[in-house]
Amino acid sequence: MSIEEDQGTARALHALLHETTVPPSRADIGEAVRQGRRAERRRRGAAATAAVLAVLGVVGATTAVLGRSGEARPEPARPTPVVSPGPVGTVTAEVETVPVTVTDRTLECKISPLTLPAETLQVHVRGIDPTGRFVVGAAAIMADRRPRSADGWYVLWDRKTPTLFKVPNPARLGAAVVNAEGVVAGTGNDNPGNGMVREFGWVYRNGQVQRLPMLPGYDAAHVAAITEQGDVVGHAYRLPPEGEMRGGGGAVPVRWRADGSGGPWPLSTPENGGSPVGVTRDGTVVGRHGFDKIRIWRPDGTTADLQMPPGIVRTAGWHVSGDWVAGYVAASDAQSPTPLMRWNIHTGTMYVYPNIDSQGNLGMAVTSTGRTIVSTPEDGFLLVEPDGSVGRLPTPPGAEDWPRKVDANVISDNGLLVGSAYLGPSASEGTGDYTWQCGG
Amino acid sequence: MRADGETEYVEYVTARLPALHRTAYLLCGDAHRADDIVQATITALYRHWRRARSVENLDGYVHRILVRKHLDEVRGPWARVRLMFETPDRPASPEASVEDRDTVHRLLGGLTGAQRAVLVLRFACDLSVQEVAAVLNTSTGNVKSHTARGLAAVRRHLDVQQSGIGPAQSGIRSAER
Repeated sequence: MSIEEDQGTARALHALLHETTVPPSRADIGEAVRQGRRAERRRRGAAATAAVLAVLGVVGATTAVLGRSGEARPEPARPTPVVSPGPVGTVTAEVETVPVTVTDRTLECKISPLTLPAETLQVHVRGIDPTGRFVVGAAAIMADRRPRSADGWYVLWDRKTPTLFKVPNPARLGAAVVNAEGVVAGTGNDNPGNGMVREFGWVYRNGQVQRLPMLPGYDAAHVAAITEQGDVVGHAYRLPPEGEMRGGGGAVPVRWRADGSGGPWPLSTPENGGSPVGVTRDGTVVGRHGFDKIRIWRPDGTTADLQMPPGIVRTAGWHVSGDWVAGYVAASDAQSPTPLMRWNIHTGTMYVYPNIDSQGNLGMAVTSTGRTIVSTPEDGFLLVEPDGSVGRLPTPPGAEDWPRKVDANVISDNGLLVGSAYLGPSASEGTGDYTWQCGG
Repeated sequence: MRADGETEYVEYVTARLPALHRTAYLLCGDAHRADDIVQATITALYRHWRRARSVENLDGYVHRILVRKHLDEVRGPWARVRLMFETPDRPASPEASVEDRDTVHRLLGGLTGAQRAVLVLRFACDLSVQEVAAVLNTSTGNVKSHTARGLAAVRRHLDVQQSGIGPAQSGIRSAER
């Protein structure tokens, strides 16, 4: 077989494998967690942990520190944060179903190649500011084939001009976020060398990377979002004792203020904690509690859980902008469809799109105007307009044969999307990086 | 596992579940077995999450678990040995051809287990030769060899289809548009 035949066959096979319909998965993440916990419990042989391990979602509220044999140990001394200690309230949403039709309609967007620094081979864009001026992404330099946060190289674009910077001790997971002032925040990892990960927050401002301080009494932190004012929001947590998998303690939402007032400042008591994902226009922090609940922490110090609307048993929010939260809902605990939803936290209306199944995919974002992009395994990346119309991102030149290999999961308020497109198995780098300007 | 690690695990698995299921399905050609393979994979991943989250290439790590679970599930404990040392061009499993109902099943069902694994990882998961070699714990030369032979077998199948003998010409044409 000649090289040309080889490549032609590879392209045909690639298209077939990517386009063939696959039956929906019945795998159960909750069951995997339950089994994993049981195995962990068996290993530790600690009967005292049984009650904690048996129920999904209660780990975040666990504050006891358990030793190898299950005995309680005193928690490390720490100052008690001053926040509202009241009970967790509820916030409601009124569901409005939007029966959109997903067609092959392609959006009218201006596509431009993304300029990379000279030493950069590829990037994975992670964040964009609402104005579209600043974009941040993880970079692969030199011989690295794929961009990874773990390499610590990041690119910050200011009006399409890139600057490469290095974060010492980077974390492999976690977002990089940027605001309209060009301040970038992300998560690092001290990695104490015993297989553990000890995360910390960092900020890149004026060409300098600075480590964010820890919440007193806590030894790890994870960054989720940055506000227009430069406040960084994330959560603090404690590592488990040496040699233990469990027992570190739940996540406490925190805010590092940019006004010089110190911090981080806890947003709730540990009992009312959770993991933030973003901040709304009025300063309300939106996040997760357990696996299937949206929890909010208000500027007045109160905490509330989103009450499940009728017919919905779990929901998750993954991106926040303006008054909007983008995420998905599910009608059952099993592997039921997880249609896209966008919830206006100000009006309380939750728009659910039953024909757009995210299949649990986290690749979604919303603008302050309510435009939503979502990655669906079936239909690729879709842009859902507030009026319910749905369109696909156009494929850049040179990638015509690979229509569903576009990966652009950041969008600004003025309709700038940034991401990559697959160029096929014969391309030297595999993907190219682009911007799509889709409306204003 | 601490709460934060568990949240991270759930985030990762939730995001990757469709892709893992797709890979498992293409590897084994059966929806129920794919479910079992993925379930076993994510359960194992939970137990090893502390180590997994610190590896450089998490997707590769998980693919490695998945391929091992696939081999354990479908072909028994000696499969990993056979995967690397069996002579090529032997059909993977006779029952696969019975269950094959579409073009992909026919194409992949005619390959050896090694060729099928390599082609699925290369062209469905978009892994590089080096990454596939790491997942399968073999040499890049072995991966290239299985890729070339697998593609040759696919090519023969496509030629047969396009000559009008095969029953699935429409699927091939749509794939080559």
